[in-house]
Amino acid sequence: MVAELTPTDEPGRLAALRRYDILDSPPDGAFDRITAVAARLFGAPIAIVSLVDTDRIWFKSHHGIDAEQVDREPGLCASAILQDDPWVVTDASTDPRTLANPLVAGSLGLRFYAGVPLRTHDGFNLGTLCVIDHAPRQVSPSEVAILGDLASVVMDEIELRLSARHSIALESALRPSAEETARVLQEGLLPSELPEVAGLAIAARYHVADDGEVGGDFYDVVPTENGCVAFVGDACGKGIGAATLTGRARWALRTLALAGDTPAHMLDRLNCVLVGDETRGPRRYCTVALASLQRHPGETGGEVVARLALAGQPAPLVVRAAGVLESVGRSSPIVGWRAGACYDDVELTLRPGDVLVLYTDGLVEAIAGHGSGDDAPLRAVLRPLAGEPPEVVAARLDAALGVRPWSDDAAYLVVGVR
Amino acid sequence: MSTPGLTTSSRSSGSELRFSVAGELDIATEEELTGAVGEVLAERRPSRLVLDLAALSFIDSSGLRALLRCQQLAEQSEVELLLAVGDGAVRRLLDIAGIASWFSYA
Repeated sequence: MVAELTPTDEPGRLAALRRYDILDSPPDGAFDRITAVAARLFGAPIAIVSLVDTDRIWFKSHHGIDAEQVDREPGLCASAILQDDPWVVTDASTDPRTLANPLVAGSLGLRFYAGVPLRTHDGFNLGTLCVIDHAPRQVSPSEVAILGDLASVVMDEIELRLSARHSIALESALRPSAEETARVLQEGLLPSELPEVAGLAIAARYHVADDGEVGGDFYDVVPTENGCVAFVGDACGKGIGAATLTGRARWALRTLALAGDTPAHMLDRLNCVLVGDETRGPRRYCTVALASLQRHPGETGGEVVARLALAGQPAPLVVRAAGVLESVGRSSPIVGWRAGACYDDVELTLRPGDVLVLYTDGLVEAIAGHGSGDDAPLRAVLRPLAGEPPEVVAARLDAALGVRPWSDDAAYLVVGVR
Repeated sequence: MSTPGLTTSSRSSGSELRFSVAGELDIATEEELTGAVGEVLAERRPSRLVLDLAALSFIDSSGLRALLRCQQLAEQSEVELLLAVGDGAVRRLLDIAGIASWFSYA
């Protein structure tokens, strides 16, 4: 490269050029329209959007000439980018700056050249928008001014493409962090470990669906005076919206559990709280299976009285130590959608060795297959497990979960009487 | 996981509009259904809308929410909404959700 054709901060200029990642990019209609307009405006056969690379001048758009690039050295654009003003040669064969240039003296026979630098916001001239003719011609200042305006449009397009690429890169960089946020949120929605409750053994599981979105399942166990309140639930939908409803429902239930109400009353109140909630965003409902388990006062083991109420959940199952599998609870409406929905308690006695399984509908589907609401496969897993402790029952359920992917979360709480 | 999506069609007879839905009604398609039902309510102004769900192959809790929203839309437009369901997935989900009695049936 001839030293006098080298801009002051050539490494900086080349770095700026690389930043736009435009060299050897595919043809682009936006630039082609600008060169077509420039050629028509001047009545000239050739117009080019050029970018001056280390050793070559590459044409982002070339109107009226087939070449896609020329060597940097004889290229007039390499001269044009040395100043910030338009560079105009009205007759190259007589102009001392160009008369020996091979593009002028050679077969191309270039006579007229008007180029305006493509100047970045930080002051680097990447190339030019130029108009070329085989015959000498005069140009008016207003024509040169219009060429300057068109060059600004070219540079705006180049900047726009860069910022669009930045936005896309930024968005994809942010996306995992949104998922991460949801995951952290979800971790905060589940108990880190289950409380010890005298006379009971409890195992819990939470399997997340495979679509990468946070689901809305939840579970918890709240110790009470003579036992505990245990629940599983599912906030409809997925993502952060579902997760926040999960949080509200879980904390409302924890609070209600301390008041000593029966499960049906707790669901009444939860429904009131959620229906009256004016939180913004799409309306959601949630489903809950809720059980209170109480030892007889003064005892630390033995039978437990269980009261159970459902809100839009499949009936929990009891694996009796004696070998019978029972489905318990009365189907009742989802909470959070309609005021005045009614809930009923079902009472049963659990004896040592009996196991109560509370689960969300995702478990039924994970065992029976996508789209199946058939709970026969789940029952078939539980039926032979009479007398097994909760941890064994939970492990058997884990093993029965079908082939991934699952479309829904599955949560289950297994409560056994010691 | 493939998302087969939803296909819908509608047919008028007198002031009754039958809106048939086939495919999977879940988080991916719930807004498609509520949007389409909102449109037919606004444009066709039937006095009765029958939502025919017999050809749905899958429905989940988001799909259920879509049905509840359709019910709200119909109420707002003062249109009688009837569901046509077989005894398959939709009926089972409505039963488990405890809200089968919230709807009327064709």
